[in-house]
Amino acid sequence: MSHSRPSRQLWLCLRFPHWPLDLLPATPGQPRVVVEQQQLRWLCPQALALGLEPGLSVGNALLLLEDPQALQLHRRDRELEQKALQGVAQLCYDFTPHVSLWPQHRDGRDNDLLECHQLQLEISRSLKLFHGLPSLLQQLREHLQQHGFTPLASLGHSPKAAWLLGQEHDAPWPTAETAPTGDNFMQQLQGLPLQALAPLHPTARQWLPRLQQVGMHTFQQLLQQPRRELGQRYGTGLLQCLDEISGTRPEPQLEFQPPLRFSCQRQLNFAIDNWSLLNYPMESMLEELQQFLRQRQLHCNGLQWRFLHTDRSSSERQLQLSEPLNITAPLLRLTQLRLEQQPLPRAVESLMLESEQLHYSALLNHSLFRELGASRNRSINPLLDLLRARLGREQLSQLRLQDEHLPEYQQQLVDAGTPLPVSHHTLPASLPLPLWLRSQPHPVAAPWRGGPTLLSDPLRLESHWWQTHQQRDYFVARDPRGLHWVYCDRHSGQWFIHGHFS
Amino acid sequence: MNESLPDPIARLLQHPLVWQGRHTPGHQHSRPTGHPALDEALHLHGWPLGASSELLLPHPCGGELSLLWPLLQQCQERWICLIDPPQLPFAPAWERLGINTRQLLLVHSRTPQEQLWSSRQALLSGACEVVIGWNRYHQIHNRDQRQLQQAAADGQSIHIQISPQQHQHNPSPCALRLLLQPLAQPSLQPFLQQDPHQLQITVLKQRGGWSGQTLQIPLHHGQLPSHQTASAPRSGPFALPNPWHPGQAIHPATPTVAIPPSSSVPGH
Repeated sequence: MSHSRPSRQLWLCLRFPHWPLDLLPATPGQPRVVVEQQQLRWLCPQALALGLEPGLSVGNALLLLEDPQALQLHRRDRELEQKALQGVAQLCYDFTPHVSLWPQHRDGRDNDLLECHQLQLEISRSLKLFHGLPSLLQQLREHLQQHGFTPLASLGHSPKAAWLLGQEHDAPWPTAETAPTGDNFMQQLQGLPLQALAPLHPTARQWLPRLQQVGMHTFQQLLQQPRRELGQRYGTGLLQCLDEISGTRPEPQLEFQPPLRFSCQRQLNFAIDNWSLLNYPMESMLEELQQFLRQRQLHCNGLQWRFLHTDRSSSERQLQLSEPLNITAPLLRLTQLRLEQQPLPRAVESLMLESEQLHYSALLNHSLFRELGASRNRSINPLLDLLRARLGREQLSQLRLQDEHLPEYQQQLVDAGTPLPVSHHTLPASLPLPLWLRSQPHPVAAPWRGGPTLLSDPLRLESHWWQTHQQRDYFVARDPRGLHWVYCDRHSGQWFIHGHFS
Repeated sequence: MNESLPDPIARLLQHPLVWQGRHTPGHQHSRPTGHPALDEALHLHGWPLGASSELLLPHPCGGELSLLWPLLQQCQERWICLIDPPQLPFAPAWERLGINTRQLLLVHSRTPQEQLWSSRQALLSGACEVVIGWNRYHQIHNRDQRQLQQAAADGQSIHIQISPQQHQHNPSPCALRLLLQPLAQPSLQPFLQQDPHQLQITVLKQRGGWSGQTLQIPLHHGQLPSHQTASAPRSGPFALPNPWHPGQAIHPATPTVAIPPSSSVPGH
């Protein structure tokens, strides 16, 4: 059996042995356990100190305790664990594109083989970028610690080897000066007890007891056996497992693909009804969004907040942007304004941030001399977003010119930010046109009954014969407040002020 | 000065391809008002850039646009933001004056705080060349006014604030304050007034210059064709063209005053 084939791959296995406990909100001092099927599965150090053990049933555990109320029981939530692990994979994606959640259980059959949670990172191709292995490991560790994750890590030349070596060594984080070769790893693996292979392959249940029966207890002993005979006696499953450990047979990995939909959730320790406190979780969530966007060279066009209240109701706040953004600060500001405009009804227990409107960034050129142009052509969009977030969409408008006869139809109020076509038709200068138009014509008395004094010849406008036929005579008129544009409706004989000259 | 410089540098400086920082447009402090008489009276020769100007009017729609339209005409790159305009701008008329209405933003506030905040954001953003606010509420506090002025300076915008005439005796930190009065209604002395459409402007305050100047600019420029407005008002009914019989005119009932002959329209 040849193990001398040089393996260029380098895998880093990140293990989270207390993952379900890590996900619980921090409550210092109180013993916490995670329960699955009425059995204690994960216990925090305080719970262990109380004499509780994994595998104990909940009933027994409560009997053992002096103060059963103090024990916090949490039901295991596999979905949440998986989601959170994907979040960590997201962080690791900064360092290598080859990240996989390991092992991959497609059908849940092998779930119990490897109960703890792993990520496998193939880092051999990132070494140069990060200036060598020690620096890469150091940066990765700091990056994860910043986000509150302290996994155990181990190196190997295949995913299985990396995991096995992590089982053997107690060091929480590898301290290799240079990238070890496959041979180094195989040597380290030699001393491993054979029992360690048990969770690695679904067929291990069949061949492992038989190997132990014939007196093989270490990995070294197994490696010394001729490969063909092993295959004949114990089945191809064993060979497959061995090849995957030695790296001669690549283990298929389902690589983590960063989703093109951003979603993150924060569970608060206590209900918050002081909105200024809500800024901290919101800021950290938006930072996560920013990182997500920058990794993919994306911008987001809008986002959605969902707040879960103490009474299990939820409220949503949408934020639409007129210009794609990928920076935290303006997003946080807009969110705050949005919440000021429409405050939340009740205390908030947990928050969710989602964004599906993601676009690839358009790379822009900036001018070399700032004072020459950058400040002059600043976009209106950030301003529109700000105003919209505080005042609401309906308080902002623009005017669109229309080709119509009646003045009130010659322009239309549209949402601010709508792209408007260039209008080439200008009205002849011979027509009197006021600069101000009343949205509703204001009825006035006729000129000979004390109304405004007429100054001009009439201008007849006729239109809309297909609906309500409009026939109006427009005049320039004066009253003590200035010049107005008045008209007489030919059908009713009523006079109206329609505009003001200013 | 260039003689004292070493030769190569002097030659470089004279080279037309070398760009020098002092040619930037950032050195302007004002925009021409478009009214020569007013430019003359203002020591900056125009609207102060990056500062607030206050126009005091007897009532909204009282001639402010007659004063401001040349300024708005100049805004072709950045936006014009109108905050709480008293009525809707009539876009065809604005376009006819050469104002770009595609970059005209209308903002309507509901409270004084919202109005102040919107003005401030519009100024700060730097995206608006001119921000015009119609003060519908009580007088703006000194502190808020200073904030607005600072925002205008940060965004290099022109802030125009239109306030009721009653505020003219209250102090204000605005860099320029003008009192606008449409001249006494000519309808009172219909035939004495030679040129009825004038707006009288009094400079109440200008930062760094003398105040007290009084001048007149034409009112309703570009809105009324000159030959259509009659200096003699028609105080009674008039002859409407009859849509059914174009030759005959309709005379509305009960004329109280004799109809002046249509030949009294000037320009004929």
